[in-house]
Amino acid sequence: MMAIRCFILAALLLSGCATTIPQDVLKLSPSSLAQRQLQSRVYEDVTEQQILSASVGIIQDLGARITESETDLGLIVGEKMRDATDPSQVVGAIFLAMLGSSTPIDKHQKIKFSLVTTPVSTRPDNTRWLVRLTIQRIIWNTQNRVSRIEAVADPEIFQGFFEKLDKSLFLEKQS
Amino acid sequence: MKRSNRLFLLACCALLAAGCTTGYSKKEVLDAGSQVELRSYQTRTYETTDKIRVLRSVMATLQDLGFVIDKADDVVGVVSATKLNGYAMSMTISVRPNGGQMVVRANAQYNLKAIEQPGPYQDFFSALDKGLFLDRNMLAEDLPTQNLATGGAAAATPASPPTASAVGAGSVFDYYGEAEEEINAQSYDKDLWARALVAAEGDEQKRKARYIELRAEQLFMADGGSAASPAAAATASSSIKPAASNRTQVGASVAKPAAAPGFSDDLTGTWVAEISTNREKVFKNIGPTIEFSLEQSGNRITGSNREYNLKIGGTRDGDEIEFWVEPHRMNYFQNQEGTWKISPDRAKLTGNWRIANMAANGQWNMTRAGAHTAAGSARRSEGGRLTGTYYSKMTGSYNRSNVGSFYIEQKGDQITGRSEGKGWEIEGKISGSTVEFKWYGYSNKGKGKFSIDEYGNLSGDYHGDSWGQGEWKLTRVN
Repeated sequence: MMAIRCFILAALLLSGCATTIPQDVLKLSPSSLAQRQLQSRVYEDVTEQQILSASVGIIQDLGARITESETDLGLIVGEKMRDATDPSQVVGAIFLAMLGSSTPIDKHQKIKFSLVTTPVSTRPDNTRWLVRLTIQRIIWNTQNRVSRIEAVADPEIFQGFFEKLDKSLFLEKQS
Repeated sequence: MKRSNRLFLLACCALLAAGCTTGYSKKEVLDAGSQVELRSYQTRTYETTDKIRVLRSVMATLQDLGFVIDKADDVVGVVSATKLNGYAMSMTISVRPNGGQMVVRANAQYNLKAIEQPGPYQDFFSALDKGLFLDRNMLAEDLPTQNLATGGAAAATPASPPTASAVGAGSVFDYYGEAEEEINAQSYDKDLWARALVAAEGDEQKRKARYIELRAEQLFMADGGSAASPAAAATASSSIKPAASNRTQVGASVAKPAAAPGFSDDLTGTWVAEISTNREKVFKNIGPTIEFSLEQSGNRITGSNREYNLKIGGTRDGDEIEFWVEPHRMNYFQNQEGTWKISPDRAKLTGNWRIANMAANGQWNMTRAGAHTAAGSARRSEGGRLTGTYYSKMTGSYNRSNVGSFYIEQKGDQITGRSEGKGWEIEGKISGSTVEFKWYGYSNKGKGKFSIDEYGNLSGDYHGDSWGQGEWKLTRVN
């Protein structure tokens, strides 16, 4: 009896509010190089302003609102709220509901786009810019609890975005 | 017994209530801890006055670490970012000038708790050091282009050898051995060796480790960015070797088909291109003829024109080459690709180019330049010595020790030069046999002086406007 009590007390003491920070949380890893490749492109013969304003247009095309822009440092941030219902999850939930338990399913998500431009050279007349886009999302379930927080790493999404940016910058230069 | 029961319950309640204080508490608003010590972990000073550059490096570093930048302000000098990866981590970095230096302070929060251990902060600053000191252009060189990702080579011919980027994608750790050998052989990069000392905060013991880290990353980047040179492939570690030997094998089997009298079956050399277009604006700034230097390695073709900074990639299959242009200058070159036929005497490539989604296309023919112009050899007299004045003799390509190619162009007594991919650029003036120049890199800029020797090699030193200095040697290639 005493042993159990001790155990419960010890567990409570330990669990309290301790969050363990994963090791290496701020370390560069070889996988961060792969990510950088996925998320970046270099554009030449353009001004930073052209890239930034083209990017604003594309983020708007994606239905997001711009929440932050800083031209001196080359930053555009936009976000949008969207439905996050996944059909397969709904079927599963209905099935489970028939068995008498209610499972929360993903309901909506907030997607955040953040785009940063970096000059490739220190020359005052530099015309090469590295553009890097990062995306993350937070998903809430039907009980309004956060069910997932993650970075978006789907190569197709980035490729699609940069294709749009290519096209829009190309048109801008041609006109 | 009853009393102990009650005590137990009380203890449980107290712990439950206290464990995770949610109520308002003054302590948490003015949370202190041992501030002085914490501050020292969170702060680092950099010898530069360029606030914008430090802020930009902070942003790039945060992105490398998987963060999404939320806010940035250059006037106040602050960047905030979050990382979501099953957990939520947020960081705020402030940058403020202090007597010719920049003081960078980082605060990190993991879920709802401030990080107070030194470890993560040290990791952050070592990542930032790299971001500030490494030639960022090497990173740019390493980037994918849509052409390389989707274009012919890898997909169309499954048997083709790995592309340069596939070789480079091995792992940064493959280069640690090489970096260590450099130290043992004392053939290390002096500039980087000095940086390693800074990064190790003056600790000679750690200097070696820092150097290996920095150098391995540099080698890794350099190898992934440009077509792996034979030398790089030969010195690179075991995991890369199979790729290199595979390449020569393929080369041997391709080189066979009937090479008619004329030129060697190896297409390596200088070629003059004639390009026509149905869209005025594509190729608009390029003259009717431009020169490319092509290199064949197995069945892989790479080419470049340094005047317009164009790069060509291609795959050879017998008498045909599928080629594509890397869209570096995106206003002219977007997803251009085409096919060349190699003439029986190996002196001509004839074919067409197109941009699929723009209905732009035209002819693209190439003729070997080597035989009739002999431009390269005319630049030097016998024995490789330069004769006459130095004027008009400096245009050409050079080898920058251990780092890569460097190109110089001369007009009158003015020269301009750049490294492959424009990571380093110089502008200078020749007087007698010396050149005084200004240089620009990604993370630094400054001045320097070369002297030209009788073989056309340049040697001298450079120093940064705010930090860094060293020797700089360029060896003439052609």
